[in-house]
Amino acid sequence: MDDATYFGTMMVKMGDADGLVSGACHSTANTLRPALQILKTAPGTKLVSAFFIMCTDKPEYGEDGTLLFADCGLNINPTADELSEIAIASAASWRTYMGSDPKVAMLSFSTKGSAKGDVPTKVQEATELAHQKAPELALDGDLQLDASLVPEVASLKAPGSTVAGHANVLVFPDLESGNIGYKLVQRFAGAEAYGPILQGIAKPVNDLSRGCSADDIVGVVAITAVQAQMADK
Amino acid sequence: MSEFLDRMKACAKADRKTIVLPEGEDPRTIAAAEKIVAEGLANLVTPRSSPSSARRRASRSSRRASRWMTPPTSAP
Repeated sequence: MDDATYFGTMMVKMGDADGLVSGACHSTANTLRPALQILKTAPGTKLVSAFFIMCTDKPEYGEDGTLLFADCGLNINPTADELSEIAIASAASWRTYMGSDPKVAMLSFSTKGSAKGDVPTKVQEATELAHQKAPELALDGDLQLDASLVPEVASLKAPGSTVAGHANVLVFPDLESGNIGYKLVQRFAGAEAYGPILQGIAKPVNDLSRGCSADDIVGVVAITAVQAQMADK
Repeated sequence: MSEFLDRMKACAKADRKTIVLPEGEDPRTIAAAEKIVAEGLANLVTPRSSPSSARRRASRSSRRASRWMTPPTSAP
């Protein structure tokens, strides 16, 4: 047990600091445990999730090639309710980092019920719950990836959707698809992947990879500082 | 493509926040801290170590010191 992480988390709790970045020499669990025990989840939030900001050189997708992917790091098999929480938190994070309106696609292998299965059903329920919790949010599901990103496909598969074809926030149905999905884009498309960035904790806390470089730490600190600025507003 | 990071850094500089780096003994963290302070991205707090590990190190170094001080004649 590392006393410095507890001490630092307590400083954030007491308002002596605005955020914490750790994990270069500690496991994710040892960074997250004090955060969850001391800071707990943000008001109105049920769970902590992890997203990546993906910067691609495909300006036709997302916002000039930049998209937010969630959850790619934490929740293995979220329920429909948890998935709706991830979607709403991700939309807020998009606003924090990109300053523009989020358009949230709830991903599945089915578009608007085109295929049957447990996953599309869960994603449809999550979409419904998210609409109830955040009626003003531009969010749609279930959507396949191509229907989410490509206007021509969207007009065929999900006509009339305000999100389909223009999504900038992609919510994956589970951690397997989310984690594999971000790595595919990172490797094949040569995208820059910034994350995992944690959302849903009462104050910003972010975990480093144990293989991180000094420059990686600088980046995560900048991202955490921006999260802290938004927490004040 | 590192536009995003540049934007984050500019944003962080504009309203400097205080971030805790508990791993203040890690060389990468120390190198990062120097850059962060030099670029004015954040105010940093780096609790160097817990009291217990500081004690452990202190006793280690005093052991080293005592070895150093031992006259060669008393060596086995």
